[in-house]
Amino acid sequence: MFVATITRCLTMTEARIHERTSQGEFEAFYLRTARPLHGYLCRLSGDPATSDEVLQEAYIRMIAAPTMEEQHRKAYLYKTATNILRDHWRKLKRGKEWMELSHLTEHVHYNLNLPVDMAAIFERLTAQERAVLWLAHVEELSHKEIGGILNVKEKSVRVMVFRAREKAKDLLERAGFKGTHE
Amino acid sequence: MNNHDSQLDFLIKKMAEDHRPELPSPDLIWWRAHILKKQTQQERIERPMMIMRMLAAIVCLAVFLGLLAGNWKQLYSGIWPLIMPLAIVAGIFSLVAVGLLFREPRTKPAKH
Repeated sequence: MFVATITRCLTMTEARIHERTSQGEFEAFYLRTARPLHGYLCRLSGDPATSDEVLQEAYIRMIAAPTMEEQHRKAYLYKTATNILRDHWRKLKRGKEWMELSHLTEHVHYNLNLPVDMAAIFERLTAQERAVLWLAHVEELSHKEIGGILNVKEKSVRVMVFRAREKAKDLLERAGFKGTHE
Repeated sequence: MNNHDSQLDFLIKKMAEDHRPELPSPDLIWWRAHILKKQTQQERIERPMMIMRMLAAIVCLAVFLGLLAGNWKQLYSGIWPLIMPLAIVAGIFSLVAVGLLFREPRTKPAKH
């Protein structure tokens, strides 16, 4: 009886320690990934409020998911967030606009220090082009990983990245950006 | 990567760096996740009970309807008073089972 009680207490303490460690790990991971993820969602949705909601939901699902490695966790997070956003659009009967979403309700401008308004350039791209550019340049993910997140084949991602880059460069030139940075 | 590509890369990265939103606290997300997890566990525990309640309701209704169908002729021929108590009991049990089945849960899951 006494031994059983002690064992139970020890198990409970271990569980609490494990929970605290997991929480600490989560906090560290959150602090590393939340800002870029929020930026990605903001660029994709054009709406900070929706981005907040989707961000929280994505992290909650990640906590509920089985433990995985950091890189897999990040890919899982982006995939989940993209899917939640897609579902959100579908709910708003805007799912069909996923490929060619160009009309946005709210504009997000944060990059005032840039020689050109990159946010405005981004807004002229489709949601998929924005996602691809962000994942390739900011997150520096491989084509395979981007494909996994966006549910697209690896070969298609290569083409999509190339086209998105060309379009963005063309828009930059039209905006009068001559290339001051080296 | 040519010069234009590196410029584009720089601009996109700079745009990402300049994005500094007010993010929700990680503790808040952690505890929300745990509350939802507990609610899911509770639902999982209650699921067999719900199934049993449903089965009980179906069985009671089947017994009641079976008795009615089996004694249809007797009902017409005037033996109704003999089976009436049984039919009433079966009816009450069915109603109670259905009532339990559709009883509101004590705790409603939080909207998220």
